[in-house]
Amino acid sequence: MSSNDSESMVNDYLRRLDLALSAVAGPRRQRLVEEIAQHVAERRREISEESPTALLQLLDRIGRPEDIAAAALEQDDEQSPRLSSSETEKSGLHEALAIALLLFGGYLLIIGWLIGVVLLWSSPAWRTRDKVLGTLIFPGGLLWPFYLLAFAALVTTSEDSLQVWGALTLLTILTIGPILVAVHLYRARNIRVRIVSFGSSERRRSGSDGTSAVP
Amino acid sequence: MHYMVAHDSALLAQMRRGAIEYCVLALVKNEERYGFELVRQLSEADGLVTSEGTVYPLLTRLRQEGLVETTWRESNQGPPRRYYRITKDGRRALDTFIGQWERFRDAVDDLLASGGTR
Repeated sequence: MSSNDSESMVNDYLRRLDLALSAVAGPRRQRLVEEIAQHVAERRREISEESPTALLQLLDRIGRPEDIAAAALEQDDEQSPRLSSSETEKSGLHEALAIALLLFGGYLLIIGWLIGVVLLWSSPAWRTRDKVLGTLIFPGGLLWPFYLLAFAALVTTSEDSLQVWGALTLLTILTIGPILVAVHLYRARNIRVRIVSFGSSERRRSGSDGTSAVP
Repeated sequence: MHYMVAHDSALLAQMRRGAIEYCVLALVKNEERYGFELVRQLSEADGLVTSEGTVYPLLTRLRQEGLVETTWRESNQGPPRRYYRITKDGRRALDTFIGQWERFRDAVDDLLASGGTR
């Protein structure tokens, strides 16, 4: 059996698995395919001489893609009753408020922004690196572009084009930075909320995401 | 006879479903293990795993529920591996299960042995 044949058998199996898992949410589906691909590779390493029969037996032992997908969906079903719907909505509201306050809270005597930071850090929906990002870019949110614009309005007499360009660049960075971070937080939050909605309310994941040393 | 075989396997499937996640937690209680290692150990236990692939959805769920957590580690054979270890919540869930399991097992054993005549 040529190694090409084995590869195509394995690839075919993994493709079928991916297809069978189409009803499973994105990150989990990808993870399952990855893990099972690795499982196949590990089992293959144990075979001294790879024949079509040996490979078929190996894949048979891992199971039909449809059965694995059924197990994944069954796992979801086992949990969903444990989550009340208000729980999801509540966690969504907390995060939405955090993002809004990070952007505009600066206008509420800065305190608003600080509350946004507290909400950001107290939410289980973000990873630490997202929280650091949300805090550092930029403290005060969209308060600074406003000040800069107001300042520019006062000092419109400047004819030094370098200064004008410098101010424009700064303005752009100060405006786009917080907005990009807000969009990022919103999307990161969405993924996590979806994951949480698989999970039980009392055993919510505690932010123990795969802190990976390798990407 | 045919009915009995089907019935036996359904019974086993039900018992397996209740117990297997705690077997996983027990396997990662004292040391971290990577997916393949975990599945191999489980499938060596008689009757616990019918097809190896179906353990992985269980692993992803346990991770989503925060009962286990994962870390990538380099491997000297092939690509990096995802290692699983138990969390504080997982330990709590396992301890609760062990207590309940022992009571349940003793009660059933007692009844099966004595036929309820004691």
